[in-house]
Amino acid sequence: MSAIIQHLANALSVGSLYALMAIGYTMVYGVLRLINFAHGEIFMMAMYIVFFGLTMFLMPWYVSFIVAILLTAALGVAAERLAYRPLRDAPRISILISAIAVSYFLQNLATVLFGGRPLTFPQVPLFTSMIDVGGARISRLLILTPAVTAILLIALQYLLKRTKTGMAMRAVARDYDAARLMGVDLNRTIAMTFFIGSSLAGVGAIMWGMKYPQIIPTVGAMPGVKCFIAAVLGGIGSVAGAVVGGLALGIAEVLIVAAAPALAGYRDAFAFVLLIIVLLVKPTGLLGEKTTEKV
Amino acid sequence: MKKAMRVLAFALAALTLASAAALAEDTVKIGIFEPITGATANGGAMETQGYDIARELFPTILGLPVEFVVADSQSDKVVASNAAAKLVSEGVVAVLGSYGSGLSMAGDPVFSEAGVPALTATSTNPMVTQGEWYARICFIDPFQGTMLARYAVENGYKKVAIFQDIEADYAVGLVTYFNNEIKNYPDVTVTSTGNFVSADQDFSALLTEALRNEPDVIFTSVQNGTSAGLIIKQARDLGYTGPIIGGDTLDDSKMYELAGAAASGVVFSTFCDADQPANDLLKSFLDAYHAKYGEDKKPAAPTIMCFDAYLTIKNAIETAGTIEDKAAIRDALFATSGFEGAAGTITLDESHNAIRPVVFMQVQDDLSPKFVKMIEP
Repeated sequence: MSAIIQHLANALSVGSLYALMAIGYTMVYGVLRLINFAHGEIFMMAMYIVFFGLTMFLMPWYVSFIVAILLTAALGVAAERLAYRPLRDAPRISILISAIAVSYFLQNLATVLFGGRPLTFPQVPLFTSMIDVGGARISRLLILTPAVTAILLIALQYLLKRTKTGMAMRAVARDYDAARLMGVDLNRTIAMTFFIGSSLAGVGAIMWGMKYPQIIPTVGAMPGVKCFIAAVLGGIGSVAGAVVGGLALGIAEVLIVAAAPALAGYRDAFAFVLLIIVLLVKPTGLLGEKTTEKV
Repeated sequence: MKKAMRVLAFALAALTLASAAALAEDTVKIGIFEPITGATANGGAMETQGYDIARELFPTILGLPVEFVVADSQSDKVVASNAAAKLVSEGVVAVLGSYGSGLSMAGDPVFSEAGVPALTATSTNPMVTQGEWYARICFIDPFQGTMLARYAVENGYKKVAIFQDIEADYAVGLVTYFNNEIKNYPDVTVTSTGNFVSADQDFSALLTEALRNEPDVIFTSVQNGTSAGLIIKQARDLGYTGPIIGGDTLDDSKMYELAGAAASGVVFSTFCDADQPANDLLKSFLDAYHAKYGEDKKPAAPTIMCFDAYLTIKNAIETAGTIEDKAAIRDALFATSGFEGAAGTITLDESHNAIRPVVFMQVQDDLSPKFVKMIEP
């Protein structure tokens, strides 16, 4: 029994981490039709910012977290301003290549700035201490992660559905040119999308770091790919889909490890297999809308 | 613009040629073949410290200054093969490294084909030295795995939970030899084998499954200290209080950093113990190490072993008396016998592996490893 609770808690916390990052992919895709390949690297940078905030500048954890989230968001906006905006009217493939370039640039920048040796994400005991739940020993983080994700999701839904900025984002996502003609400030709206997506990646990075404390310049690569999978799985472009995709991926991974520990090493491969199966059956993803290609 | 580029390219080429010509004759180029970045970077850094101190204390070979040519394998077997090729094309006299048997094995065919002698200080998988150009100054895993299994048996552990990094040739090999020995004791069983990959950081699902069988001991076979540290930390967090053992890769500062207080009591096998100054060489190594990296830092065994590896290759080149004839250097290297290193006497057998004892260490409450016992082969 306790083992089942343990597995469930693991699945839920991994899944909600994936969901947080997948939202970033899906929102950017929604407004720009761009797979932001640099999202994983922005996530990686957030981990380094927290690390240096806590260990070098000796900030209290809450200050360091807020600084990291804001800086990460600023980094996302800067990437958009410098690498994507100048290419907005270029063919779609150019901006995609530019995203890959930003990803490699950030990875190598981190190697140069912070070195190739792994650093250890500082532990904040308030979040990482263990508690007993029905005979299972669970880190507080395991409960906190889904809770934070849920709160952020509600806030995001409010922003998208009830505010002017949100309405502008939805308008841009629906029809880019029509939104512009109707007086939506495109630059501001797109920057805002990157701001929100990147700050969610920042929150994800903090919780990721407390759960998986090793930081290396390539630390964002695998989560980046996984969350991209989660976004596609759920139906890219849909925020609810990203959450469903993230949770599905997290649960599937933990189930595989629990059911067949000998196969646990192939956990990452299963994510891809799952993606292929879902796409074969439902090409638009679990919650994806069927869109007709605009001519 | 085009013209400027051409001039620049020309100047660069001329500069490269000039510097190559200037360096060709008056240095001994030694290739450093290590993971400088990536998941195993801490292992590469520990080894590089050893080479650096050795070169500081013994800066010349045959009267010529030693130049290190570093190639980063990025902890990746494919990149490792390219890094090895880079060293060969740079014209190194010999190669030192790598940390991680799988990475060394990736370099082996390249060094064999080019005829460049290579020497690893810590790659323990038996396959590493199968080629005709690779030697090592450490023991091999059939010995280490057997001794770890016997350690478990001697301590009366009946149920063993194994965790292995299936990406690493070293880790899989070590478990194979461990299991081979365990089979000889019918009352000792392996209750679970959890597989993971080097980049994994969440072992809670694997541990939850393993702990259901109530093992007496957890055996971690890992590629780097990071995995070990996380397994140890997460096992203790899940309420496991029993013993944890592992091989030489646990001798890594990352293990202590990640496991913290949970590391206390962990037992691992390794190559040597820095607390036992057996000879003057170890003492001078330790003095230099403390001066460079801080008084409170205790060098891990791989650092001391790499110090010895540098001295061994230096000895081989000087015995051969040439930096041109690589076959002669290799023959001198393979013939190393009774050579005094900081970590003990180095004698290579006919398969160019060193015959040396394995040391068991136990982590104390202050997170420093303490000598438990030494087993001669």
